[in-house]
Amino acid sequence: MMRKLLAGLAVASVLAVAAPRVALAHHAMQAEFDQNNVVVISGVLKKVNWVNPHVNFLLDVTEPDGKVTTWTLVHAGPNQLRAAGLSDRDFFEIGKTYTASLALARNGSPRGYVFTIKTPENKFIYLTFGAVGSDPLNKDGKGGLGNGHPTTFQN
Amino acid sequence: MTFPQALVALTVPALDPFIDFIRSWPIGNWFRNEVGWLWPVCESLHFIGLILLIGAAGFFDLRLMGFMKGVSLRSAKKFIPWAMVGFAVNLLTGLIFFISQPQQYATNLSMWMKVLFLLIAGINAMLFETSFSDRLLALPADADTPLSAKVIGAVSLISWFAVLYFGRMLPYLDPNPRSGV
Repeated sequence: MMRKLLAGLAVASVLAVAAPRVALAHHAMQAEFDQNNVVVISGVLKKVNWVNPHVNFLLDVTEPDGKVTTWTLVHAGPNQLRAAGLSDRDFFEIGKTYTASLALARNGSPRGYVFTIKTPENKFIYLTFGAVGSDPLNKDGKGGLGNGHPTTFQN
Repeated sequence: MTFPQALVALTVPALDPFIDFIRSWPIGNWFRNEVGWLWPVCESLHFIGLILLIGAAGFFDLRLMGFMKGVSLRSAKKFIPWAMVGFAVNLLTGLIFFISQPQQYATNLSMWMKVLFLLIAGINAMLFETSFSDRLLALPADADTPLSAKVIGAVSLISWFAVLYFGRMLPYLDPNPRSGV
């Protein structure tokens, strides 16, 4: 009985370590957003809502037909982003153009769980450690939150 | 104009001064800007509180509905103080959320549905205490409960799950999301 239990525990811990790192770590992110449906958008930063429970960035994206859609880019709470060395004032400037990769909302609304943000100075802010290759702005799976690495910035 | 839009047009301007008033409180500013760990800690406590509340009250509700007759109503009711602890924890942490970010809740339809079901659950519990409690608690173990007890149990169980549902749906059922500062 004890040996069976220990063997079970061993299998479980191997699985836990070997399991692919889940990019959308927070509670129901995977339910709201589809991490297999990642797109890259560019737009003018309208507002940064540095609020609990989830920080969100509003990006005005001009579509090919000239129509402007405000996209909501969601991420973790302010505490987590602050711990990673980010702040709303130091990294984000209203009115400047930002590019971001995001997992689209499953309900089709203009929302996404943001993976990587490219600043106007071509600096990359890696917010989420995704599976290698799944984030078009972070093909090598650099840095990011949720895996103990600090968020990395790179030109 | 759809019903939610009409409701937004009606309620949002009326509630804006209230939101501004709550946001002007120094304690809210302290919650928002000085104690970054507070919100996540309160979220965890809020979840533990709802487990205590629905776990304990839900068991009593099921007994009222006639399940688990082997347990007397008097014994089942011994869990209720734990439900009250859960409710107190959730009221406190919920107030901290509200005072920190009133604009996320005050004009949110889901929040008012949550409050509505809180009131229904509260009135239902009061009705039980004032009019049915003595008679029902005298029932021995293995006794079936009358229809009135079954209705009270079902209303309570449904209301508490509705409170939980609309709480979880706060970010999703808002026709006018305003998470921003």
